[in-house]
Amino acid sequence: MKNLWQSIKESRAFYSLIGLVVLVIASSIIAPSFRTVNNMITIFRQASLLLILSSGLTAVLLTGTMDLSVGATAGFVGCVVAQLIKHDMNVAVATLIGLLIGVVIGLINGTLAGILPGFIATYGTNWVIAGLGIVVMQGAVIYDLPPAFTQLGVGYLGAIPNLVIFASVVVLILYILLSNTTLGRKIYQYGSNPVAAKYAAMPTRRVVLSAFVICSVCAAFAGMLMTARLNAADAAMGDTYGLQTVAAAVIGGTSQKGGEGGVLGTIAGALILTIVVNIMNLTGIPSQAQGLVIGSVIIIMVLIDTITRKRQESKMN
Amino acid sequence: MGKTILTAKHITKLFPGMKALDDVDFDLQEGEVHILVGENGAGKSTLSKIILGAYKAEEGEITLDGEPIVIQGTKDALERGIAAVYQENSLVPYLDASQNIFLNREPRTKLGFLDLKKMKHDAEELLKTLNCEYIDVTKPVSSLSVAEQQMVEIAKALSFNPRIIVFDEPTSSLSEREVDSLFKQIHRLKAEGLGIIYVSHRMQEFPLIGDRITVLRDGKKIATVGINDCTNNELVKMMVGRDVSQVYVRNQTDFNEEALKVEHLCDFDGRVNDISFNVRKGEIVGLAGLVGAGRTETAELIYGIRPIKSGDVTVFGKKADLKNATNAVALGIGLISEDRKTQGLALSESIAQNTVAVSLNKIFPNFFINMNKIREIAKDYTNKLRIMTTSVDKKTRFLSGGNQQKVVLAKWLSYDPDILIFDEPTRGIDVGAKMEIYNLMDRMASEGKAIIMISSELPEVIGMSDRIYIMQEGSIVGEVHRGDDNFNQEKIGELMMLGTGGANE
Amino acid sequence: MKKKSFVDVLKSVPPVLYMLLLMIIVFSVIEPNYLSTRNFKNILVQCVPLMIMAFAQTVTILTEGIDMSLNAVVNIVTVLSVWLATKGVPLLLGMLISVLVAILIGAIKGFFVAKFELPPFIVTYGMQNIVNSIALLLTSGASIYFASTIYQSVTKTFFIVPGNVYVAILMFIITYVMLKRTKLGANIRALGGNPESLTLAGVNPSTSLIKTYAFAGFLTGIAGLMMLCRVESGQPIVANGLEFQAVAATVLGGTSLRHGKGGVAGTILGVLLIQVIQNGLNVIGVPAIYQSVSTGGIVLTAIIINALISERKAK
Repeated sequence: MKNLWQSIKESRAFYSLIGLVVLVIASSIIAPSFRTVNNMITIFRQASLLLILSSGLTAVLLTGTMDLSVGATAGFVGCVVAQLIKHDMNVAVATLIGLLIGVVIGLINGTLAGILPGFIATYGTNWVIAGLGIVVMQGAVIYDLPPAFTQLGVGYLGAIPNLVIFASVVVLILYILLSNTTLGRKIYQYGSNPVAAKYAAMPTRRVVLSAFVICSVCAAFAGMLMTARLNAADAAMGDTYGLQTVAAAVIGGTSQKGGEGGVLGTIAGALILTIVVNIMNLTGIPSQAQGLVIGSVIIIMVLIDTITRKRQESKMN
Repeated sequence: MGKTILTAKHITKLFPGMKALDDVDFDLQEGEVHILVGENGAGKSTLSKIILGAYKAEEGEITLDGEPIVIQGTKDALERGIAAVYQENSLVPYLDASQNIFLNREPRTKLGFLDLKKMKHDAEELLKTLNCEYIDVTKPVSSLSVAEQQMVEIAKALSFNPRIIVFDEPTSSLSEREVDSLFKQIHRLKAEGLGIIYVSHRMQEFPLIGDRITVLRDGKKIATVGINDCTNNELVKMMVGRDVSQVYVRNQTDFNEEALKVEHLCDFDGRVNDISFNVRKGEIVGLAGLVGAGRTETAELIYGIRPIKSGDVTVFGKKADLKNATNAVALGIGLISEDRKTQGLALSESIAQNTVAVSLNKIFPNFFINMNKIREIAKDYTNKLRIMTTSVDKKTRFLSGGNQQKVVLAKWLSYDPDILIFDEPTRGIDVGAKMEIYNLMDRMASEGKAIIMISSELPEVIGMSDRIYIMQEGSIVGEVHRGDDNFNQEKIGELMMLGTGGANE
Repeated sequence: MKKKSFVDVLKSVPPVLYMLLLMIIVFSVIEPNYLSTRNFKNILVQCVPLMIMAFAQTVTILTEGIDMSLNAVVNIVTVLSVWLATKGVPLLLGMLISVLVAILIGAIKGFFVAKFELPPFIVTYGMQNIVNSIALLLTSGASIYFASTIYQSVTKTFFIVPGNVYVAILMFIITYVMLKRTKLGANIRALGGNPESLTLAGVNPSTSLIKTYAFAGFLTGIAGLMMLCRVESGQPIVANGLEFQAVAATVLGGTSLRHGKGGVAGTILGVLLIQVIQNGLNVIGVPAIYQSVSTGGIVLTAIIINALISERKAK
């Protein structure tokens, strides 16, 4: 037990977890309706897409690169799958195709990130993928998908929304993948020092590709759930998620320089952003003002993370 | 020797949890090169940083020309005539040499813009005094060679018209020829009456430039001696604090089976030209040569991370197909690379995580890992190699150079390769750790490993190797055997230099 | 001095220039009307706000930073100027105040990046949220208007090209001179290349960094004014997306995201390339739904080619 506490305390997720706890307590005081079981379930449901996206992105950030295309990938795959289903394709087959598209995008992003900085490469693919989304939709919006598909996004298992279950499963898989497998270790090692990874005989290309594929598959999955949840598809629906996803992972303590952080912190980061929006909705803060609060929360969280970490490091030195 | 310029008395500097300097006295005279030596962590960098104003001492007094002074930061030190030439260069890569030299002291035109013409002119004048007029001061320094950058660095220090210059390990990235010209400059500065503080590890350099040596150990001053008043052995003894009668350990056995055979190896850049040699089980083979002779490149070819243009590598009788390091490692070849911070370690990862970096798939063939098992393995190696740490979960960033190097060794020992290449295994680590590494190499050889050792320190190569190949400009120019007449520093040194006395590149 | 051969000269030209010429040739072959003075004037006028934003982005990137809030600052400048005007402040004064606000926002970003060593990407993304939110609050989410002749007096043609093109040229000169001929310029390269060198030379890197972000803020403010004169209204989301295009233009122009390598001259070519593609696709009549993917595709290809060529040069 002491060991677990120690390892949480030393992990980069520590301060975002504390931030999360403080936020939950504060929110409970500010808005009594926050405390209800129903609202908790709502929060988890609202957080689920961001959780899937940002957990996937964490894999890429840990390698020390960046994927700016997750929002566009989600939107695009959501659109493609919606079109396929609208054209009477079997839901299971369409979903599978959606995930395959995720794999392909991941491979492309990962390959390009070998030639260019990931930031700029995935900005480019983001542009192209978002554009492809418009082409797929032919400028229109699709409504009314069959229940067999929408059930994925709106259904419940008992009292728990399917979305929450999907998110939990994805997050758990990613946690295990990154913390308890050789691939995960390699991702961390590569991110900590790519040159040393090469000298340690690691197949570095494959590791980076894997991270991007993980990320894009998560994005593809989130995109399909998004469509199912909305019961509609729109080329622009993933756009706002792009940078929000990065913010969730970074305020969760995952360093953009790679090698440090993890899914645990990202969960905290995604929940923090979701709760902040939730509490603003509960207290009736207009949507136009919400960016003010979200922006401040992002800066403050990163500030706390940076300052405390620096203090820790200087203690070690 | 002239009068005393600088004295530092009773200097004490505290860092959290340790006394970096403890009541240290130091003085510097005009026209003197005063060498500061000591193991890593002995306090020599701390002392020079205090003199340069980068650190403030908790106690003690510094005088300049007999006047007590308090140095308020690096800028103040510069204004008082104390400048530095740093080990890692302090230049801005995409600024030209003239702008680098005058950074933050740029001459201005009447309108307040930088006076580029004057800067260029002044920079050229400065470099001329260093006999480096061939350096183009309008090119970004990133396009200059390391040695040229070092000269710009010196010009920058000189531009302050200093009376004291601190050189901090200035030769660590220079080739022998470049070191020569650096020493010429130091002699010239000395003749002009400047006081020079020279921080270095390289004992063979001391007689070439030094006047006095101050030895520090564990933050305390051990002695200040004249350059001719003590032998290398005595120096080492002062640095380490114990008698070092036998630094190198080599218990030779018989070598039979050939582990590695290299034939006519060439790379694409012309750094390695038609190299052929072999290593047998139980043998330590040294590769000697100057910086740039192609030794590291040869190692990288054998390790598969430098593309092979032509030639064959045979491992235990089988031709090896070396497309990448994974191939090499699978064949049982390991490389302890030259630069442990950039190539050897993941600094934000723990000792345990680094220990299993190469052997991960070997230990966990089923994809899933077990952190506790990793810790067990790491604990085993920290004990065996005497890595000083409170926990194997400590990030390697927080370890001393010697302990870091031991983690790199642990990384390879846990994989257990048959052929291990040591590239500059003792660079920048203290004498104590060096000896442990020599012992380990000897033990590994007697266990039947084949070892290749690359080092720029000749005594080390000679002390450890059973056979030495001498490389020069990408080719092997000689081979000497332990016990032969020519197995000595003079002969090997001669071969290393052979043909390098020609024109400047 | 050795004389450069013609081939050397060709090799030393940034690859983006060839791509630019190639695109112009392709478009003019497909649509002969493309090569009209009017169209080129169009391209120039269209690209002015992005151009000045890209100068700001270049300066920031040279310090190894990045600014994701340039769009928000341009938005707020258009909004604030008009909003103040509707409250009775003379438009010109409102514009001046807006530029000062832009400088202040820049300094605040610089402060967080410098003093606390926060990652610029995330600080500026946070700032984007904040500033965009303020712009939306001021306008209740819609566009706001204030009629004035000032807009046209900037966009009016003086001697061949419209006035805002001269503003862009002026901003280029200021930025270029700042980088080449002032202390701050030298410090900016040091911030990206080797910040330690500044400390050693007695410069406070934090101060230089804050100055840099403030300078970029000034440029962004001017970009905002140029946007205002083009759209003639306060538009809270008009510049969204341009912050990334400014990064793309900077990279296309040969500035590296790391180490303080590059400069502002190449950025011009980068911006022109993006603008020429967007304009050209329009002129040759590519349907709207295919424009985004085509522009993105060509820009991405250009970035890849650029990277491959400079990698080769480095060898």
